[in-house]
Amino acid sequence: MKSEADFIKRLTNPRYRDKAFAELLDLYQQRLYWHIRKLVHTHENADDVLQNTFLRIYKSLPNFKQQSSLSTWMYRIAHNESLRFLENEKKKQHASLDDEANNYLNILTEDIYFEGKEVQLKLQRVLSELPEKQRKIFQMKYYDDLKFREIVDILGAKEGTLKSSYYNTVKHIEEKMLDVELFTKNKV
Amino acid sequence: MEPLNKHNTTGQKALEEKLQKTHIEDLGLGMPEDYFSKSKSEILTKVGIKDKSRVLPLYRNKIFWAAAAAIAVLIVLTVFKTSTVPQIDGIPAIVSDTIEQLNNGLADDDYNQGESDILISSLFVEDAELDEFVDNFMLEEVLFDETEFKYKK
Repeated sequence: MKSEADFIKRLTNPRYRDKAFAELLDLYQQRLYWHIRKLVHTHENADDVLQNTFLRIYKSLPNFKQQSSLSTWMYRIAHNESLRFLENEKKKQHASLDDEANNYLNILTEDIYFEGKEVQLKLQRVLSELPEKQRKIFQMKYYDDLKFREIVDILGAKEGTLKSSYYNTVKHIEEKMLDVELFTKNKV
Repeated sequence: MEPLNKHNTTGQKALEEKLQKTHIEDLGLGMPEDYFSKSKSEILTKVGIKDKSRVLPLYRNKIFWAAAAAIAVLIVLTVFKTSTVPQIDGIPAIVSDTIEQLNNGLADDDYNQGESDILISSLFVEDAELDEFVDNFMLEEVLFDETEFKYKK
């Protein structure tokens, strides 16, 4: 069994780095993709951001100081890359953050890889109505399966605040989705 | 989050399946077929790492070409090994070529010249050799005859 410390050593050793990086991709590519996808909404955007994220990870590995877990560090990079992407998109479109939030559903449904039907659209609508930070906390806990401690490290908020926000959001969504079996059956 | 452990593939797979299921079923987020495999290759290429898991066409593989060349050489050697001397209609080519040359008259002069040289040279015998041969023959013949003659008597 390989510990994270051993894995990081391999990642930072030029002799083993390439093979270790390929393993890192196997382990985290899908997790980071889904995290990014929910932030940037479309598959095409997520693909761009995912590639940039791993390029940044590869370049930054020699400087990784292990102040957090490798996983948290990578999620933080993915999160920041997503925010950077959204910021650039906003500049291109001369749109405000509020406009972007309002266009959440439009952007999502215009994506050719959005396969949602009535139920998924309803959940997405409920999510789009949430404040941005509240939505992120919910998505990271609920869909990305991250621990509160990890979300704290990524978003930089207090754990108590995060927990409170999350449980309020869950309650809110449950009420909104009461008639939708899919959501209440699987989760919370 | 699961700790890093390459050998924990079951847990890794289960987590990925769960993530995929919830994102597709709950949120309707789809993606192109085989996306993660292609994306991995692209990322590895961008960072300058050769993707060993990627299936490359055989014709791009240098080892394949080397092996193909070696096999071709082996086949050639196997096919022609039994007839290392080139043959035409079961006759060694060197013989058939000579026959052909003779038939065409191309080598007539050379051939006849050689034959003539052999015949003429065989006619020349040193006198001393000839005398010695004759003397010996005569002596043996005479001695034999006389001995034979005595017995008969």
